Amino acid sequence: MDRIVIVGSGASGVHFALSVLQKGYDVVMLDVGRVKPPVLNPRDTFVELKHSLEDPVRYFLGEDYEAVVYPGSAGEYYGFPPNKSYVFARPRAFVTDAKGFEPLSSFAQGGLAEAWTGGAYPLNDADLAEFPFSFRDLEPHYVEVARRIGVTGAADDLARFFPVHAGLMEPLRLDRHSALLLERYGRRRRDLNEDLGCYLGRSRVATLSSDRDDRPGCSYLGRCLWGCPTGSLYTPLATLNQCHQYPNFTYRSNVYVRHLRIAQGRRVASAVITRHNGGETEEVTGDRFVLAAGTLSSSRIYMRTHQQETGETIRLRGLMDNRQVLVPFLNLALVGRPYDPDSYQYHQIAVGIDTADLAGYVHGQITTLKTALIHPIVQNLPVDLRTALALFRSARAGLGVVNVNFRDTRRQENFVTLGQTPGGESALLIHYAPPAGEARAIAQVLKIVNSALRRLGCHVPPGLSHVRPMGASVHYAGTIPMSTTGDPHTALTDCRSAQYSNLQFVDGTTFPALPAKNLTFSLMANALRVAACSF
Amino acid sequence: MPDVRGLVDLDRECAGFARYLTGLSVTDYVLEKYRDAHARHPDLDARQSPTFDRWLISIARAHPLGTWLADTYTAVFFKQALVRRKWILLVAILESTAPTAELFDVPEPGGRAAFVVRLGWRGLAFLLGLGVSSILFMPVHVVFGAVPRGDAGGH
Repeated sequence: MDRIVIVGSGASGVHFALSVLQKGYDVVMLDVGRVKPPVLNPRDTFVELKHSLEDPVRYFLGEDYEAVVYPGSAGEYYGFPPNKSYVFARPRAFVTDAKGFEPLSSFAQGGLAEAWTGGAYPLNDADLAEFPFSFRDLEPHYVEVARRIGVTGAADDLARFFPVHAGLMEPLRLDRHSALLLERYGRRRRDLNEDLGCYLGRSRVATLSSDRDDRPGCSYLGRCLWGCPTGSLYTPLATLNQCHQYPNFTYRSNVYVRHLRIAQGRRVASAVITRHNGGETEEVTGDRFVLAAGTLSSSRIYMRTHQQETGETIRLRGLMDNRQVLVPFLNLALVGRPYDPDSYQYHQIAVGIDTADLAGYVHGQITTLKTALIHPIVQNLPVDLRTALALFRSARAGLGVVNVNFRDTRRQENFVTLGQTPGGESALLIHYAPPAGEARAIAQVLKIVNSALRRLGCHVPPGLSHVRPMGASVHYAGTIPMSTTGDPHTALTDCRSAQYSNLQFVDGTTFPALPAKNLTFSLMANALRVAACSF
Repeated sequence: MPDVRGLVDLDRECAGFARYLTGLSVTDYVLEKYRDAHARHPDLDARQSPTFDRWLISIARAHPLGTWLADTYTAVFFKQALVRRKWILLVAILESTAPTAELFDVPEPGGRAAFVVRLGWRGLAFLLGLGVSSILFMPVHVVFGAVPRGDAGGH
């Protein structure tokens, strides 16, 4: 059996690895692999933690208070908690210089999805129009991923946008606010559907609603934002741990892949690695090589490989990401009521908006506010801080935010390349410009969202919607797209490189379009598709 | 040699600001964390800050009325003021530990009707405070070289 070398341990890499391990291949996974810190007090609820921890401020704000969000922090309403900082820590060698883009990368075991919110929405045929396969081709792989990770959801109004595949678990218990919104939607359904093209339903989330294998069902501890302490919310580390059970799996951590070495016949001979903080290089040989390091890192490795082989520095064009806009709202019916800390903290309601030619399908997720830190929120209210705190206490149960996601397309002006920072450091250069008409499309869609929220009994405070910087959604894709043209620096329909016959990609690098839905579930399904058709 | 007087001032500042913002007394743990944050982040030290920031902090420390006026002024014209950063740090600490966190978990009594009434008179109080503080602070802000600006929001 061939020896397969996989770079990266993110969601797509580990699922691909598990599939080929099950087929009997020898797999070597190369990973920087930053390690998750231990889980503290796994049985305590969010509220109990503030009593039971010896140093709760350190847990919630960090040893260096790095999780404190001060005014001027780019207007974001939240930051990542300190115990997830390992997810985003970069090795010294990985330097970026970006224009119009704020990149995030992960070198952690499990990758970026160690900090995801669990959205698991399958793409439909409309989303896949530019792909060389249809939903029917991908469906068995969605089903298998759902079986592996556990995805909850319902057959509801959103089925018109997200196919209802086999293997969905019963939805999670709704928090009070989400239940109220859905109930209101039930009464105003026709209005929203016919007037606004707006549909609501249960989120599809990769969180168990009941026990499965060695993972327990959600126990509603309210700690999701700080990392699920029980493993109910799926993260790829669980699948990496499953890979470790196979004797034909070798995991090499603390290594950084600099580039691939090309041998005669345009085949990859080895991965050139160093220890992640520098040191001597080493070569890891294999028969087939798979890049699963995320679009930015995989692109960097590919470009450096080409540069080493030919001396040429190329630009990979077509970088995509989803624009996100946060729309805070207040549900007046819940003002003065206590909030629900012992509940699932992430989005429980999804929104689908069919805007036709304006922006295509627009995806939204409604997260009702529960146990998030409040200081980033109160400082943005247009009153003095003391008043803001007092108002917030009574408004908390009614607060929420809609995270509105827009699709993206490949455009030539958006690219990555290799270069240097102004200070002379080798870097991945990123250039991104939004599409013409984006501001108008956002404004029009926000009118729809605001109108929908008002019909659900919610007030949308003016001036508080926030257009997140490009790069914030971390759904990067498109630099080496699947194509039937065979053009240089594209991929074939099985995600094999058109340049190097034994190199494949299983992350978003090869996606030729970026629908508005969260990407990770589809990345995992595509990784299984590649494993099925190529191995 | 630790700056004992500085630490005592910081403790008084922490306790005074906490009482102003929340009506709560602080625990030794909160005082310790407030001091620790200042030790780790010299940019929170008023002695290193621009003149207007130092002046605002002295006003805010002197009396709850001064704190309130500084609060209304910085909410609109100087969101990144050092004193406001200190308050936000303190709120972050208070909400992260028991028993102070419990305050933020419970709505004010009286339900929605009381909220609306409180919203009304708090709004009026804010406007009054903003008016007074603008008259008192804005000239000083201008004299010390900074240009006060209203901070716009997003969309």
